[in-house]
Amino acid sequence: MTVFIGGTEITDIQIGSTAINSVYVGANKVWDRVTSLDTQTVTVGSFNTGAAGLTFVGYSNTNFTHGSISDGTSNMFSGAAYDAIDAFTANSNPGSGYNTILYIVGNQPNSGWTTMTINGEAFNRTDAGYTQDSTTSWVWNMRSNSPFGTTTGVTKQVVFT
Amino acid sequence: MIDYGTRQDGDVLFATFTLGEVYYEVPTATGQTEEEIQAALQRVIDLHILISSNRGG
Repeated sequence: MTVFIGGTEITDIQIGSTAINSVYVGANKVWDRVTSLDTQTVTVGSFNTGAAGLTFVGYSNTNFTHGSISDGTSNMFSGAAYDAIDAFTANSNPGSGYNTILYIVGNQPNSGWTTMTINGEAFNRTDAGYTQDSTTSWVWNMRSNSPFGTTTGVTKQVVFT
Repeated sequence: MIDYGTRQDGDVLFATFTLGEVYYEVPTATGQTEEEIQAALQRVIDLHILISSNRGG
């Protein structure tokens, strides 16, 4: 259940300082507060693997560290580390757009969360390609822009619900 | 041709398969052809290899 004012989704309703959890129109519930499972703040970094490689924008902790993350451990998976929350584009075709990736250390199941929202842009778990290896990854198909933008040093909120 | 299984996750049917020690899942869509599912499966393998090689993994 979502409510919009214009094009903006309402995610928080308060009366004074009291948070409202549900809104009804007559007997019909029209809005529920979404409780996040985990929230991370990513300070955006970038890494270019070379002319024939990829440019990553976001956060990664493996081999080429770029960006940083506020907490770095996943509440959904018993404190497993976020290895990357990142977007990448092919340097050979930079206008083609960005894939978005989520890497969490360990063999994690494809369950336990529904949506990752980066700076207000939603990525549904069930839309992603999933790979379970020593690090588990979710990969979303290409979108025209990076959800982290392309400016380094800025912070973006990542919310899991 | 990739020999895949399936897993239902709510409203979504995933195509599933294992290659070596790596397990993959790809969401399918109603009306998707066998060729499109095979292409999606191959794409997730290719992406995993591409990202892993670029990340040095």
